[in-house]
Amino acid sequence: RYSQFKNLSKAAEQQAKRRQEVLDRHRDGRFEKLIKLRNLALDEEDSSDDE
Amino acid sequence: IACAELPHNLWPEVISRLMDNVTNQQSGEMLKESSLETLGYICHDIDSKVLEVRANDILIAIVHGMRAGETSVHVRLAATNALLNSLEFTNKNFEAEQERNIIMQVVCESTNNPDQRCKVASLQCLVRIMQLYYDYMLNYMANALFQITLHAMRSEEAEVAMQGMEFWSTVAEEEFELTLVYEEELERGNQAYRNKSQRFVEQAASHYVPVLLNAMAHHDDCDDEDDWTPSKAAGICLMLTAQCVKDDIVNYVMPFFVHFTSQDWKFKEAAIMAFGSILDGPDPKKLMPLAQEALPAIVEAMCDKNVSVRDTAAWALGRVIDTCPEVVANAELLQKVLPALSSGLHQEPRVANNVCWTLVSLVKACYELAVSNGTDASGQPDTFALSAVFDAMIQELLKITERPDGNQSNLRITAYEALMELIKHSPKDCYQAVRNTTVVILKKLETLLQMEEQATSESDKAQVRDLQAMLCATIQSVTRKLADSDLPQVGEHIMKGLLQIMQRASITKSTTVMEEALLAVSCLAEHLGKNFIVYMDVLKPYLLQGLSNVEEAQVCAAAVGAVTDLSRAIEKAIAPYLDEIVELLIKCIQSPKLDRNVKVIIIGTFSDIAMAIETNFERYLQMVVQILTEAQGAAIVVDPNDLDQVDYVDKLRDACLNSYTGIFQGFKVENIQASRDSIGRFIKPMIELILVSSQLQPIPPSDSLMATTAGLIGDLVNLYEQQIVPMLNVEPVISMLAKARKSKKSKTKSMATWATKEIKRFSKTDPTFNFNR
Repeated sequence: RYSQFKNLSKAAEQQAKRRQEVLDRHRDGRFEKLIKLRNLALDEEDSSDDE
Repeated sequence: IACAELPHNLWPEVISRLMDNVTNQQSGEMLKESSLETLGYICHDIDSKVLEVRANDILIAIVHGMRAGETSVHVRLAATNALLNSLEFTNKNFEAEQERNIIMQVVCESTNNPDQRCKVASLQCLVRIMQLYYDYMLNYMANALFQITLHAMRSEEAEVAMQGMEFWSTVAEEEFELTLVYEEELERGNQAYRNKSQRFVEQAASHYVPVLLNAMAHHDDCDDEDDWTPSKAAGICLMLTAQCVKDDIVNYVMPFFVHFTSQDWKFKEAAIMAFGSILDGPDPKKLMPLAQEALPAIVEAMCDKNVSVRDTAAWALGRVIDTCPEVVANAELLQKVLPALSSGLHQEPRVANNVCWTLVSLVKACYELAVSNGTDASGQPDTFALSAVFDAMIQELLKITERPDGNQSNLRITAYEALMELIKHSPKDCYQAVRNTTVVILKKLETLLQMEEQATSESDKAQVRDLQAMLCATIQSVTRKLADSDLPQVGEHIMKGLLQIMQRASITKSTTVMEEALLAVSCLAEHLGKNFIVYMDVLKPYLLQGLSNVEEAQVCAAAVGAVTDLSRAIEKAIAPYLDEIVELLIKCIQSPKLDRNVKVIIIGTFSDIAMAIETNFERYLQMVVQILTEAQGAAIVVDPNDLDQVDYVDKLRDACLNSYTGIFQGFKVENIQASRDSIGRFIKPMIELILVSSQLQPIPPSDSLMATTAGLIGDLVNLYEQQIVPMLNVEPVISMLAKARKSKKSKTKSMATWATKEIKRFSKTDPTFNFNR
């Protein structure tokens, strides 16, 4: 409970956020590379949904 | 001894013997007390599942010890503490109304015990009961719990008052969570779902909020900044209550805002604290006029003669900007806020610390406002409201990092956090300041290396290491902002500094420094791309060391992340280093010491390696496919109610499928038949995993897992065409793809749509596929 007071837990939250951002960046990069390898264009796929 | 033996069904009579000691009329006070204490320790330390079958004996002893007829305070206290430790495994008893009534009656009566320790322990039991058995509390709330806890909150005894507040903080947290679950279910289209929140907070808030506000204005003059006090507990309770009751909280708190101009610092501080505490709850649009009215008074309070008022004002200002970021569009207001923040940075460390966080909120709000007004393809705005003062802000923050009292109130670390956020949220016209900061940071790194050598005491050394870690984190922010034209030259200096840091960190075994340094190396590799090759030989020893550090999950995870970035940056050129790297990655997966979440990251990394070296992955194929097969065999949900397990299995399946996908892409060559032949060797486990991951029962796959599964389905059908369609155009794949096509996540939706199209494209011809081909 003490850590919820004012900004006491913010530094730890920032650290956790930075770690998560690294994982997100890797995941997104992997996805983008696969899209490229598959020769897909996401927007076109989106707009032609449920054909 | 009982904790060691009971899980193996040894010494089975120990619990009943302890119970007899308590219930036997012949037992003396000391025997009863020590038997209850022993029961309490056993309940505290042992896996709760082991004691579920013995819950009745334990409860008989506890209830006997807690009953009003027990004359010894020591026995009653020991019994109450034992109850607190046993609540987790008494679920069966709580399910039975009669038994639940007895437990609740004895706990509620015990809150009247004149002994403060017994009273506090009983209230702690009520808090825990509320956490564990919320669903059963309706009857007890109106008849007893509301009155008991309101009375406790008004108590002059700080410990008692804080337990009363903790009770309502717990209820508010529980009801907020239940409402979130309810809203998520509605969003998923489950209109029949009922909100399990019984809205206790909504009904009680108007009664207890005035008590909280009163407590917030009462400080003991000898309270230390770090003490946990009723005033702070009341602030947290108010904050959690606001999240639950939303707009209504304004009505309850509004009369108290008259104290914004109070001459009594305690009331003035409490009013500002209350304002900051209720911001996360009501509709921001409704808050906006209130925020605009309160802001001048808050800014003025940052110059108050009392440090607590200044501290709280600085914090509340940040909260206002976080909740109503549009306030920064008011240039006139900004002109008042900036000097107040600048002055606050040079005040007591606790004030300066909150000012740093407020600067973070301010810079983010200004940047986002500028982005919303338009950017070019880079996504960065040309300028923003803080451009004129940006360099000065950076200079001031750098000065703060050098304050001799920067180790107090976490100030130095927060100043670096603020610096990082400033750099991250800097528009194009502030680039020169970003570039200059890089030079300053590198010089500081050099100085710190010398300082570490000179530091004698352990605390000095620890401080220097914290700083090194923060500098490495700052390097990551600047690297992301550096222009392509500056990167090679500046990158060389950065890498030189990082290598020195890693060399020291590996000698001193400073894990946080090593983690941040490896993350900085990863970031540099990502931005330098192929130009990073020149550093591979010098980096190798630290990379391998990080991958071997299974005891420090974060260091190992950072090293694994570096492998991903290096694979993407230098692609085929990573091949000469991979024998050692892959060997270590496999050892990591096999190590019982390494955190399982890092193992999931490692499995995903095989995908990046395979895509980088393509068919050269052949030398690792057998080993890796074996690892993947074992991992997918272990990725089974045994208990659908265990959310951690469900989440872990989902992530593990996602990682395995990603890995297969990367290997698939790596082995795909121009000659279709050659691709079919080489991929055919591991097609069986891929299809098995696709089928398992597609199952919507008992737990449906996450959006991310559906996207990855659909991607691999599309790949397989695209390569093997009609040969493979009958294996994939089946349940549960059809239903999973139908669900994924309706997903709100564009990635999931587009992957599922693509996979469905591929299946449709090739589903007309008669299939004949042989796994063994």
